Amino acid sequence: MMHRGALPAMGTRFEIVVGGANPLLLRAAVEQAFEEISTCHRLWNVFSKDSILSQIHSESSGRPVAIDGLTLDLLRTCSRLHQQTGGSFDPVIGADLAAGDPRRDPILGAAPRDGFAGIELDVEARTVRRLDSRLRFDLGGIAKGYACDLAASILLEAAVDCALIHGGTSSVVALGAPPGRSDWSIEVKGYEGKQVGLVDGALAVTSAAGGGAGAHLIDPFSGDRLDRHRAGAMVVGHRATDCDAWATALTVDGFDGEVARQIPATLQGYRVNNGEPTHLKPDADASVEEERWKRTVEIS
Amino acid sequence: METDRRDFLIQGAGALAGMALLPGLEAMATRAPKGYPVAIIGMGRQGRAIAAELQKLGATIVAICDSDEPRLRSAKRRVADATQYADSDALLAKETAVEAIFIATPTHQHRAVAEAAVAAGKHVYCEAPLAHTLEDARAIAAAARSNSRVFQVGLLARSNPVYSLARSFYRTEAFLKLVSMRAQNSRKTSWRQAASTAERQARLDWRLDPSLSLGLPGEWGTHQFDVIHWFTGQYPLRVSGNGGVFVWEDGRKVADTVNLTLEFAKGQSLQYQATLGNSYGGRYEMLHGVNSAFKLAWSHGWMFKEADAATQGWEVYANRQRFFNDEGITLIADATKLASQNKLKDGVGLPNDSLHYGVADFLLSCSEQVKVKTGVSEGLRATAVGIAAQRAVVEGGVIEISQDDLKEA
Repeated sequence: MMHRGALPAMGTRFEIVVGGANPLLLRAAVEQAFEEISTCHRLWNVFSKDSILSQIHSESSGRPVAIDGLTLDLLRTCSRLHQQTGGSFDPVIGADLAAGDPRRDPILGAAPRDGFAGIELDVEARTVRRLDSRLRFDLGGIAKGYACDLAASILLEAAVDCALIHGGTSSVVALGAPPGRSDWSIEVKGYEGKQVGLVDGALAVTSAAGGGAGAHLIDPFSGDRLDRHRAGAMVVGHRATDCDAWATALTVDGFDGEVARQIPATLQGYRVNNGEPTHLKPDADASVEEERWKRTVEIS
Repeated sequence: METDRRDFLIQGAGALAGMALLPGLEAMATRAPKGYPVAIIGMGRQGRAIAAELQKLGATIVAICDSDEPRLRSAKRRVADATQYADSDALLAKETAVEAIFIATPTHQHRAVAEAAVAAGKHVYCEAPLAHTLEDARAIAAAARSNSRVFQVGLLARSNPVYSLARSFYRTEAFLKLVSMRAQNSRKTSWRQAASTAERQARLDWRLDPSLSLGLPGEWGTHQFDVIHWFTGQYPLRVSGNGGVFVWEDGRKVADTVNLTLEFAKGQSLQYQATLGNSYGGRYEMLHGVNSAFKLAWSHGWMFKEADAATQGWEVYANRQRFFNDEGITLIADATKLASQNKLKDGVGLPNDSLHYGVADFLLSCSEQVKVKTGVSEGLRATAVGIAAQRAVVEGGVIEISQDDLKEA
């Protein structure tokens, strides 16, 4: 028996499909997993004034802000991944970049580069301090993956070992495989292999094109928005958190750069779109194909 | 049961003065003692939420405890540096440096933990309802009275800045006279927990066990009934209601939908509805007065003025929100200060969850001997009302609430 649930969070739609014998428990497990995703949403929604990120951003006098344990865990992970990717994954941008092109602003000037270097994370005191009040956290390159991993841990805690979780179709975690199948089959547009089989694994896809009219990724070194025709990246691994961040870093740095050489052995990175701009469609590129997702779930 | 008149010092004062009497939100956060050593017993959803607020307030969570091993394990991600215990007695015996204990266990386990924590000389914050029986609730109250340490009950409206502001208006011409009350809590959720074994399943699903659960009236209603108690200074004389399993037909006996009427001494009543079947409207309380109505939704609050109510002047500058044919004046804590900075809109909605303010108040009471906002008496009375309301649903008919039910012993 399969149970499916959906939740709007983090500006997108999360879905969970679980398989097992007891429908009551499956539903309860999905509810608990969604509670965790909702917690992540509340904590890291920069558009909500009661999120911890909004509180960090509203502290303009340079004082450290005490943070909760989950946020600390995520920011520690960000710090590790920022370091491992040589700064190509950077969850911090300048405030002026968030609003528009800073170099067109004669007062603010250029946005601070390498934003995460401007963050003081005191693990022992559990505080965050921005060295420049223009710096803003933008966890879009990692939070969905982290939330999917957290949801997966809740499902495992409830002894659910057959599940597929995705956040906005770009961050995916699979537990086990659907009944009668060897894996969860995920089709990725723009990836030449087309299908990825996941068993107890994760994947994330990043595209410079994004879902809107313009490019949404920023090169943390130059402050430029990435060319929306640039090849995106898919990373397959064990945790969606890491996959998310490395997919972002690969998209920023390209497949011939240092990031591609430094990617850990536990992760596999793939180019999506093959660099062919003719394949790009702003509303669908480099994401797990929605129709295929539905079909896979229904078959399972 | 009338509230002490000294609590009503602001009665008759102008509305703006009422705002000025409220503590600043920023001041409250910065006054909370940094590094204050605490422990949490019960690491389910509420325990985790308490942990997050304690961390944001800069307290030190020295130890956590849960008899459920998977919960304890998953709490590690949030409270990495706390010592973990499976047994609360062991925590109390070993963690002598801990000053305060937060109790977030299932309701029926509150008594044993609270009595032990008080006996160990700790300040105690106990979630509401206090207990699943009147006997246990009274025993907790008696234990709390046995020493001079702080005992706060987790009824959060009394610490909520938006509710404090609304209550200051309630005492003035702006509201004038109570007409009627309505409250609801609607959430679409099964209330079930998922677990790998039948034994763990039964243990985690205590809310669905009729012998242990106070159902929706007790687990949710208690918090909202206390809003009415606090505003009106009254407790209901009787409660009637009904309910049933209309949505989750999975063999449960505890109602997933309830409707209640709580009657008060002066003739007014509170109509209360709670359901696990639909989320429309969420959780709020409404108080209708002759001159205005309040809608209070925990992080937000609004005042809806009657057309014939006197203008007090300050409304001209107020922030407003449209609700179909009605226009609500947003209740904003720190409004005077924000207005002077031309930042009134920034104040719409609290910057923290209600729990944050309850936890902050408790820490201040512990460290600076500030008077407890929600003491064990208020907790006992609210619990007694919740128990009576659940009885009304289970037994049907009218349940009388005597003054003896509301007394500590």
